[in-house]
Amino acid sequence: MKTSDLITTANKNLLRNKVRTFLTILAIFVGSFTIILNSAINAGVNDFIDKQVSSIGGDGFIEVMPAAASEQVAAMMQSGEKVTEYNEKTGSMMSAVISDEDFEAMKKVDGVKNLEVFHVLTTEWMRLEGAEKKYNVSLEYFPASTMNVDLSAGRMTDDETETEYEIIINEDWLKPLGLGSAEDALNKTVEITAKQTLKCYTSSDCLAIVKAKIVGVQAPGVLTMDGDLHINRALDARLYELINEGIPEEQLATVFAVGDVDPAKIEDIRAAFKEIGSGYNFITVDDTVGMIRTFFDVILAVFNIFGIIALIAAAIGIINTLFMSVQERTREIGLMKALGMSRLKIFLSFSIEAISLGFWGSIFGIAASMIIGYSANTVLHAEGGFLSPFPTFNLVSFTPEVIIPIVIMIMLIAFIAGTAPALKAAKKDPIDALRYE
Amino acid sequence: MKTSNLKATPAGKKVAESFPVIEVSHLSKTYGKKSTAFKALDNINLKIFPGESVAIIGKSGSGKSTLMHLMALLDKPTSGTIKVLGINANKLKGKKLNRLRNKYFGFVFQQFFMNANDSVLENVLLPLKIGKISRFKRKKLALKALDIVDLENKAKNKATNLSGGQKQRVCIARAIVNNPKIIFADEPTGNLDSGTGKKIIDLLFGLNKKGTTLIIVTHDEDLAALCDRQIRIVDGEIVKESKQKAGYIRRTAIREGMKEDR
Repeated sequence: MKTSDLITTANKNLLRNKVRTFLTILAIFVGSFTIILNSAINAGVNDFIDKQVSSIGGDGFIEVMPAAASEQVAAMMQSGEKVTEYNEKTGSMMSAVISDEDFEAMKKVDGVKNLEVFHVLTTEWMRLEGAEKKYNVSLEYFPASTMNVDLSAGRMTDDETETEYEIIINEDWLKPLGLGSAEDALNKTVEITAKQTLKCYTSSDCLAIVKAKIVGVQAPGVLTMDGDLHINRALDARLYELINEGIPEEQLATVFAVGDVDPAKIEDIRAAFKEIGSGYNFITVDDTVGMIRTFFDVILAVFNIFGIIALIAAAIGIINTLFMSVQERTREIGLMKALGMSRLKIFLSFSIEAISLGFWGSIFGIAASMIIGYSANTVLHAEGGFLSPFPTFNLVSFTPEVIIPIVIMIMLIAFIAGTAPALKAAKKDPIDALRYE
Repeated sequence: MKTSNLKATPAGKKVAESFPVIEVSHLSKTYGKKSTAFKALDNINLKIFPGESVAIIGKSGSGKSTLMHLMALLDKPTSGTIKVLGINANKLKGKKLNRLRNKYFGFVFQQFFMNANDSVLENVLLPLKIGKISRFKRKKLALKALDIVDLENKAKNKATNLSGGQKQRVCIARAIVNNPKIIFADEPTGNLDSGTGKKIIDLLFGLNKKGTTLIIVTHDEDLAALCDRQIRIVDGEIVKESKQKAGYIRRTAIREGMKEDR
């Protein structure tokens, strides 16, 4: 028999006992549906987390701080210690700063592409140019190259320019600023005030206004809920200059640096930074979101276990169905062998039946999980829905990379389940099979 | 009787070629081991020539079915050799053995063994499907075979909806669809009433007349008498070989002479 004949014959044989075949496929369907929907949600969530991750920074994004600070924070956060021992070498968290010398040394470490001092910007308020209402605002600058902001409109900020001041707002700001859609916000000018530290000691009129252009609108996300708005390098420099006007440069301490490194060399860089000065530590984005990812992974792993249990039950169903089929078709198997069909082909014809059961079960599983997944996504994104604040979060993601491996896995399970009945069929002796009672 | 008319004109048959299509020598088959051993066949020697019709007769349990299974290469002998179309079948294995059966043998069984839910056409073309013949060609050949058994109009019917006689005719169509050299018929009329049985017999001997070797296993003396030669088996041994028909005796005489020359 040709392979194409084997496949059509196998599927025809499945249709002989429609109820039994349907029930077997149903069992596979339950397992495949669970696993496929789960994986689609997993892919959707991870896709969203990835977008969020790159909105705080890409894979190579690091936040550098003195080891003293990070260790003290870690001791307090992780072990819950309220009192920590003083370290003579590193000093306290409060006094720990990044010296210029160390900063330059870190820049030279292999794999470090960019390292910049992070400025804490004391801003007061922001409003749309010409508008009355003012809003509290906090801004931060990270090199645009380290980020991939999930934008609903506009573009990323430009760090090359020295004269254009640019800002990216998030969608939460649209309404307060009196802007309609994200598109409407683009190229609008906002006024931002910097609190000039030195001036403020002597005068209450110490706020300097800087005008900046909105170049992009960030889509809402879980990880950007702190509300810090992203600005470009020129605006950061200008604001820092205004805030610290009149303060001698040597008195300005650097407590924090941000940079962009080669993701492949992160561990080497981490080791190298420990050796510089009194030691420096950094946090990558993975460190930050690892927890969130782990949380989702655990939940989905639990559901996958349910799916796999269902598949094991379905596999037993396949074994049972095929054993019955072999029993019923003893005569037919004997006849086909007498007519010159080889053992291998008999084995294959039953194996293909098993694989077909798996195939159809997973196809129905895909169809059902797509319908349910997409409907749930639509419902949850509707006005007032659970996911309505996150328009770029797709609950499910059905990509071939997600689906195909699962279909192959289920077909493989079905094949393995089918081997015992298929072997039994292949081993049947044509004479015994054709002997009449 | 129509069949006897057929048999009365042996001149219409192709003249036998000199080599037997099946040659069985010192064939034995034992089932079971040692204490429970049962000798189903004991030292069988037999030659069947092209175009012959041979009846293997015996009571149930005599070993006649075992002999047919061995000659049809469905089973392996305990000792002795079987040559089919000049090939030593003992040395054939797997693929070659399957191919030989698929290409040169046709089978007709007492209990039909049809796939009840498949169409008549599907049943008839099964050997060709197994033999990897293309879809188009096998359909053509199957319709031709159905035409020979006069059931072309039933091609699309479900096999289960046919009468017993029609079913056996479909089985004959299936047996001849690959244009076999040898047809093995195991009690072909066993499940049929005498009227329908006669039609089947006519068909089988009609094919035989056109040159196909026919081997019939039966316990029916009347059916056996229609064959050129009767091989009677009792307790696993050939007890008597009768050669009844004049035409056949003549041909056999020629062969015997040739044998002596060798």
